[in-house]
Amino acid sequence: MILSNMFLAAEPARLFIGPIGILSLVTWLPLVGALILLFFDKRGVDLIKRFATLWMAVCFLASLPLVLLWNYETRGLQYMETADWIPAIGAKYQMGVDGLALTLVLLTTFLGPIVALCSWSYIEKRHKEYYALLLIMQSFMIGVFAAADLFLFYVFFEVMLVPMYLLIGIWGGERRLYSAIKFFVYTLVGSLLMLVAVFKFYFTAAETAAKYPTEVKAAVEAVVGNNAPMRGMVLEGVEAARRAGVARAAQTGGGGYDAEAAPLGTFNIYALQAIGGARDGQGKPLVPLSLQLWLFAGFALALAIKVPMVPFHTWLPDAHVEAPTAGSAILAGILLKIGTYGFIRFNFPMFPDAAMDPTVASVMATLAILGIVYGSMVALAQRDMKKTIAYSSVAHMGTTMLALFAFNPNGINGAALQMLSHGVTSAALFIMIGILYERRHTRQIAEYGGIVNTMPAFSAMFMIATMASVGLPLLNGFVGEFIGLRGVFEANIVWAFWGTTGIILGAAYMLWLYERVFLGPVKNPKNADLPDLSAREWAYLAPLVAAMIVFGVYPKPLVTFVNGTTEVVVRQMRPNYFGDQGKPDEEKAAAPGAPDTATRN
Amino acid sequence: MYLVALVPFFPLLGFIVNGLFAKRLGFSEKVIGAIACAMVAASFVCSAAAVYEFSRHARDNKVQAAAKQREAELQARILGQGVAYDAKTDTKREAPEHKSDDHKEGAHEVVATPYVVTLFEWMPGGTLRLTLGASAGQTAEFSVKWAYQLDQLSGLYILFVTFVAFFIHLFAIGYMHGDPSFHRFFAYLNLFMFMMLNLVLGANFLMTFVGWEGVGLASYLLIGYYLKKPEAGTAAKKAFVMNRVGDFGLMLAMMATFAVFGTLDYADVMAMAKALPQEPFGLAALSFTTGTLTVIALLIFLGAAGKSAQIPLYTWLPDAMAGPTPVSALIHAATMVTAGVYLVARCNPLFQRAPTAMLTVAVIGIATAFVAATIGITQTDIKKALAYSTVSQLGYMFVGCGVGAFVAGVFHVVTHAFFKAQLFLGSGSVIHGGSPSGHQQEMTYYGNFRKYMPITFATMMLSLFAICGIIPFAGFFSKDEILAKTLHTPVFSHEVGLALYALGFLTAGVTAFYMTRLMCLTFFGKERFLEGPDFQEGHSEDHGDGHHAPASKDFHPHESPLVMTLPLMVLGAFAVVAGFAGVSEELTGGAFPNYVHHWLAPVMDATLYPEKPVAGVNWTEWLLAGASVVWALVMMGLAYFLYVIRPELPEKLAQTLRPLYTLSYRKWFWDEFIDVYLVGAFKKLSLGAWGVDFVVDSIVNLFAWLARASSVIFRTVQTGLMQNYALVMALGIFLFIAGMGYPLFKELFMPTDRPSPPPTPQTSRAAQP
Amino acid sequence: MMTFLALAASWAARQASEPSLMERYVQGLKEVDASKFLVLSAIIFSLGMGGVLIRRNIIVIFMSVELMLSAANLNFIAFARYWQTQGGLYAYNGHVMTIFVIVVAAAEAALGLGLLLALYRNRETIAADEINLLKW
Repeated sequence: MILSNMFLAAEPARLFIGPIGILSLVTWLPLVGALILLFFDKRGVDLIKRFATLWMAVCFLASLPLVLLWNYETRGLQYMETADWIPAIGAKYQMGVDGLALTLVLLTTFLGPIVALCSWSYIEKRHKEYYALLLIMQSFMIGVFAAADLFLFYVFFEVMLVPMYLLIGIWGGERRLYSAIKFFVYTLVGSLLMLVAVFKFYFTAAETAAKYPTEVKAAVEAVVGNNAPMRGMVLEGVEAARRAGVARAAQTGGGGYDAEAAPLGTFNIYALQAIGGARDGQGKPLVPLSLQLWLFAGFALALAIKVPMVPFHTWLPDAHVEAPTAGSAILAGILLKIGTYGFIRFNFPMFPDAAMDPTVASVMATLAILGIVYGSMVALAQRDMKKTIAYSSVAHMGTTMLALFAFNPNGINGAALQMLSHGVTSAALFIMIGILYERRHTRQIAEYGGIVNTMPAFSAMFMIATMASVGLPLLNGFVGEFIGLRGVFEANIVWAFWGTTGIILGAAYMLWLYERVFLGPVKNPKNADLPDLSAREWAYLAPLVAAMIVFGVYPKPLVTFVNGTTEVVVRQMRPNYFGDQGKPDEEKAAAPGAPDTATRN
Repeated sequence: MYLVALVPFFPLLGFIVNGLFAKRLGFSEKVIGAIACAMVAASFVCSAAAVYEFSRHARDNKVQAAAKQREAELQARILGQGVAYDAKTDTKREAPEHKSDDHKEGAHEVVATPYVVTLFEWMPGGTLRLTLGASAGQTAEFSVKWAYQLDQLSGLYILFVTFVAFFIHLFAIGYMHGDPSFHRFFAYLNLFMFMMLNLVLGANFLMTFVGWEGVGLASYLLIGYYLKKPEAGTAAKKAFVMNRVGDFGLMLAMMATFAVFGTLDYADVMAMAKALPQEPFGLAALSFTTGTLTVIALLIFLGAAGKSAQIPLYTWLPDAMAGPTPVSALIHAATMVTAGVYLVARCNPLFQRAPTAMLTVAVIGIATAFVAATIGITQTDIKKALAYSTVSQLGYMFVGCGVGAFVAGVFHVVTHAFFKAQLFLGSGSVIHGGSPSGHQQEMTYYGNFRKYMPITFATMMLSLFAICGIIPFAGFFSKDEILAKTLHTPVFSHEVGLALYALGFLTAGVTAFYMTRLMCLTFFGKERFLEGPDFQEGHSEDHGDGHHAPASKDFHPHESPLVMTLPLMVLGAFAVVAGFAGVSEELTGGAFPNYVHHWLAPVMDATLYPEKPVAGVNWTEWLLAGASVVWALVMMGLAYFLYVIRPELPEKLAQTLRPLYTLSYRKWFWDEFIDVYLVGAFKKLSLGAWGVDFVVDSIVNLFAWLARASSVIFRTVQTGLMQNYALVMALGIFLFIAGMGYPLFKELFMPTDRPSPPPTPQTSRAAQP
Repeated sequence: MMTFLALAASWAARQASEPSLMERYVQGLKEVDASKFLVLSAIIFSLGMGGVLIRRNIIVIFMSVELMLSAANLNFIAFARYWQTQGGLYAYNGHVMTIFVIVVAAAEAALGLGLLLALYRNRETIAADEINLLKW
C-alpha cells in the first residue's frame, strides 16, 4: 500500500503504461512459456514439468504488481492499454482490469502453478504438449478477464475452448472423447448466438450514439466516475460509434459511404455499457426494451451454459469427470466464473432494463434456485466423488446467479465473492480427489471408507475444504454466501428462502461424502496402506487451504476490490439506489428487487 | 476493557499448539493435557477479571447516561423520529404510543452498557437498503465487525462456561488416558472452547453465528472422534445437518434483522427493538408485513431449537453420545446445547414483542421437556438416558424464556451446567471403571457400583437431588422459579399458564423418576457387571483397543483416579450451592437477594412486562415449591421401590403397558419417521431427480441425432471417387460461369431505359462534424 | 485422343488455307485473330477435361491434366499476342505465365508420378475408380 502510494506520487500517469504494459505482460507471459516449451526435448519429462511449474509461478509473481500498484482511489479500469487491432471493424486491442477482473486474474494466476504441480504424477503421456496447453490456456483465461474490448473478449472466450477440449480429449478418462465433444459443442452453440448478439449490439450502439450524443455522453460519466484515463478510452469508443452511426445514416439516406472517414464503430466494453445504459430525459432507455431483451437473451444463453445454469448444465458433470485433475480444477475454478463474470460485465450494465425486467429476473432466479436445489439433490445421489463435486458446483453457481439477480450491492458483491471462493474451494476439492485417484485409480465412493485412518493429514485438508464448501464461517465459502443471500433477501424473500436451503443440502451431501470416504473403519484392504501426503502434494494443497482460511477470516481486501465494480454496475442499473436516503426507490415498482414485492412470504 | 478479547484467544492458542505441533514435537499426554487445561484456566481467569472490571463500569452513571443517549438516538432512527434524549434534564424521550404512563422508564431504568471491543472489520458487503419495518427504504452499510461484547449476560456465560470446561478438561485427562490420538482430542476441545466463547462474546449476530457454526464443527469432530466406529461418523453428520436446519432459520433471521434494523450489532438491534410496539398475537402475525419481529423471533427460535435439541430437531443429541463422555458433558450438556437459550435470552426484546413466538417457544419447550422425559424412562444406555434428560431440561429452559422469565431460563442453564456436567462425568467415571473394556454403557450390566465407586456415587447423588429439584439443591431454585413464573406469566392468559405449569409439574415428577431409576440401576441392586459382553466368548465389538478375548471373571469395577474424581467433587459441590445465587425473592421476601436476577436485569427488557415489586414472603410460592418437592420425592421413592426393592416389577409393568412402553422405548417413533420418511424419501427423490439430466441430455442428443440422420442422406454424395468430384466441380464452374455470364451479357448487350446513376458526390468528408 | 488432336489441327489448317502456303502462314500469323486460338484452346481443354473425367488409368488422367495445362498455355500466348497487336503495355505477361505453367507442370509431373508410384506400391492399382478412401 505504501509502496503503491510512493509509486503514485512518483508517476501520476502510470495508469497508462503504454500500448503494451504490465497487463499484457501478465496475459501473454504464459504463452511465451508455452513457446519456449516447444524447444524442449520431449523425453526430458522432469525438465518439462519443472519448467512449466516454475513458469506458472513466475506468472503468478508477475501478476502481483497488479495488486501492489493498484490505485485504491480510482474506480473502474486500471492498467489500460490500447492499440489498433482490426481497424476495418473498429476492434481494438484494449486491455484493462477493474477490481472484479483483477481478483479473477489473480485467481487464475494463483491456480496456475497449483494445477501444474498437481499434474506431475497424474499425467502419464505427452507431457510436453500437456504443459504447453496448460500454459496456453492460462494466457487465454487471463485474457478473458483483462480484455476491455468485446471483440477481443470474444476471441479469448472462444479460443479458450480449444486447449480445454484437447486437455479433456487427450488426457481424460474413459469417455473422454464424448465429454470433450459435448463440452465443446455445448459451449460453442451458446457463444455463436452471443456473437450474433455482439454484432447486433455493435450496430445498434452506433445508431444510438449517433442519435443521442448528449445522453450517451452523460451515461459515460456514470460508467467512468473519477477515472480520467478510462474516460478518455470510453469517450474515444463512444465517438467512434457515433461517427459510424452518422456515416451509416448518411449512407442509408442515399448519401455515400466513406469508410476512411468513419471507423465502423466500437467494441469497447465500457463504451457499449454507457450506450446500453443510457437513458433519455424521461428515464426511458435509449436502446428499446424489446431489442434489449433479444440481446440479453443472446448473451445470457452463452453465459448460462458456461455458468452452468440448469437446464444447460449437463455438459459439466461429464466434462468434470472425464477431465484430468488439472482440467477439472481449471474448469471449476475459472471457466465457470467466466459465465457469472460475463453477467456482471455485459448483461447487467449493457442491457439493464432487460435484466431488471420482472419476467426475465424471475425466470433467471427460478433457474438459479432450481440449480441450487436440483444440483444439491443430484449431488446427494452420486456414486462418483467427482460427480458429487461437479453437481455441487452447479448448486454453488446457482447461489451465485441468484445473488446476481438481486440487483443490489450486497447481492453482486456476494456473488463475486462466491465466485472467488468457489474458485478456490472446488479447485481444491477436485485436486484432492485427484490425489486419491492417483493412489487407487478409482473415484467410486464405495471403494473407499476409513481413509482418515491411513491418510490423516490429507483427511484434515479435505475436511477444511469440505467445510469451506459447506459454508462454515471463518472459511471463504461463508462470506460470499451470506452477503449474497442477504442481497437476495432484500430483493425477494421467497428467493432468499429457497437460496438458503442450499446450506442444509450442501451440508448433507458434502458430509455424507466425507463420511463414506473418510470415516469408519478401513473396509477395503486396498486402502489399508495408502501413503499420506507427499511434500509435493503439501506444496500445492497448503496455499489452497491457506487461501480458504485467510479469505474467510479477512475477506475485506477482496470486498474492497469487488465493491468498486459492484457500485458502478448497480448505479448503471438503479441510478437512485445509493442516493436520497429515506425516499422510496423510483424503480421500485418495476424492479423485482424492490422492497414492496418483498412481502410475498 | 480489552481483556475480554483475550478470553477466546487462549483456547485458540491451545488448539493451534496441540493441533499442529503436539504430534510433531512428541508431546506427552501430560504436556498436552496441561496445555489444554492451562489455556482454559487462563480463559477463566481473564473472564473473571474482565467481568469484575465490567461490573464496576456498569454502575457508572456517566456510562449509563451515554448508553441511554445512544439508545434514544437509535430508537428515534428506527421510528423515523428526530427526538433525542436530553441527558442534562434527564427527560424521557417521546414515548411510543404503546407505553402507558404507569410504568415510566427512562430515568430509573438501568440499561445495558456493554463493553464492545472491535478488533477489525470482518465482513464488509457494500450498501444495502432496509426493506422491512418502519424505516424501509433507508440505506445502510453492510459492515460486520469482528467484535466482542461483554455485558451481564455474556459475562455470566463466559464465567460458568470456562469454569465448567476447565474441570471437564481435567477429567478428560484421566478419561482419555492411553488414547492413540490424545492431542487431537484436546485440540478439538480447545477449538470448541474458542468457538463457544466466540458464540457467547460475539457483539453481533454474525459473530455469534461464527461461534454457533464453529461449535457445530467442533461437535461434529468430537462426536466422530472414535474414527473406527461407523455409527460415530453417522451421528456426527446427523448432528451437523440437523443443526444446519436450525442455522437455515438463523441465517434468514439475520437477513431479516438486516432488513429491519440495518445492522446486526446486538446493542443497536436490541436498543431499537425496545422502541417498537408489540405485535399482534395469532396466525396473523406470521407474515413479514404484519409481524416482522414475530417471524424473526420464530426463525431465531428455529436456530435455537436446532442447537438446543428441541422438537422437532432433537434426535441428534442422543445419537451424539457416540462421542467420548467428556465431550458429552461439555458440549452436549453444559455449554453448547444451551446456546439456543442464550440466543433467545439475548434477543429478549425481540421475543417480547412477538407473543406468537413466545407461545411457540413455551409450547415447544414444554412438549420437548415432557416427550424427552418419557423417553428417558425406558432407556438402558446410561448416556442416552442422560441425553434425554438434557433435552428435557433444555425444554424447561425454553419454557422459562417463553413465558417471559428469561432470567429464570438462563439461571437454569447455569445450574444445569453444573449438575448435568457432573452427572455426565459421573457416568464417564462409571463407564471407565465399570467394565474391562471401559466402554460399557448399558445399565443392564451395572448394579451395586456404590460399593466400588463411593466418590462417584456420592457426588452423583448430589446432582440427582439437584436435578430432581429437592430443596436446597441448585436445581430446585432454578426449576421452581421457572414453574412459578409459568403459572404467573404476564405474556399469556392464566389458562395457558396453568396448562404449561401442569405439564411442567408432571414432567418434574417423571424426571425425578427416571433419574432415580438411572441411579438405582447403576449403583444399587444386584451386581450384573459380569454378564456383560466383555466376558462373552468372541464378542465382536472392537473399540480399537484390541479387547477380543473374553475378560477374566475376577474383574471388579474400580473408582477412577483423582484427576477424574476431583472434577466430580467440585461440580457436585456447585450442584449443591449454585442455586443460592438465584433464590427467588418471592420465597424470601427480599431478605436474601436474587443475585442472578439483579445482575441480568439490565439486559432484560422490562418495557412491556415491568417487574412487580416484591411484597414480603409469598406463601403461595412456598406451597407450590413444597408441592413440587413432595411430588419429586414421591416419584423418587417410587423409582427406588420399583428398581431396588421389587426389581422384577418393571418388567411386568412393561408387559402390561406394552403400547406405552413401546412408545417410550422407540422414542415416539420420531427417529424412524425422520430416517425413513424424510431422509429416506429425500434420497430416493434425489436419485429420481437425476433423471432430469437424462431428459435434458436426450433433448440435446435428439438434435445431434437429427444431424446424423440427415447426414445419412447427404453423405452418399461423397462417393470417394476423385473423378466424381471433378465432374461436379466442372459442372459447378459451368453453371457459375453461365450464371455470371447471363447478367453480364444482359448488361452489355441489352440496353435498358434506366438512366445512368448520378456521379457519386465525394461529400462524406464534408458531412463530418 | 491423338486422333482428335490431328482432326482439330487439320480443321484449323483448313480454316487458314487460301494463298500460298508460306504467304498464308505469314499472313495468318499477322491477321489471324485471337478467337481462332481460343477456340483451339477451348477444344484442347475440353478434351483434357473429358479425359480427366472419364478415364480410369490415373496416368492417362495425368496426361489429360497436362493437356488442360497446355490449353491454358495456348490461351496465355494467344492473349499475349493479341495485346501485342493492340499495343498493350504488359504484352509479355502471357509468356511469363506460360513459362510458369510449364515449370509447374514439370514439377507436378515429377511429384504426381512419385505419388503414383507410392500409390501403386500400396494399393497395387492405379485405377481411379478403385481408390475411394474419401468415401464418407
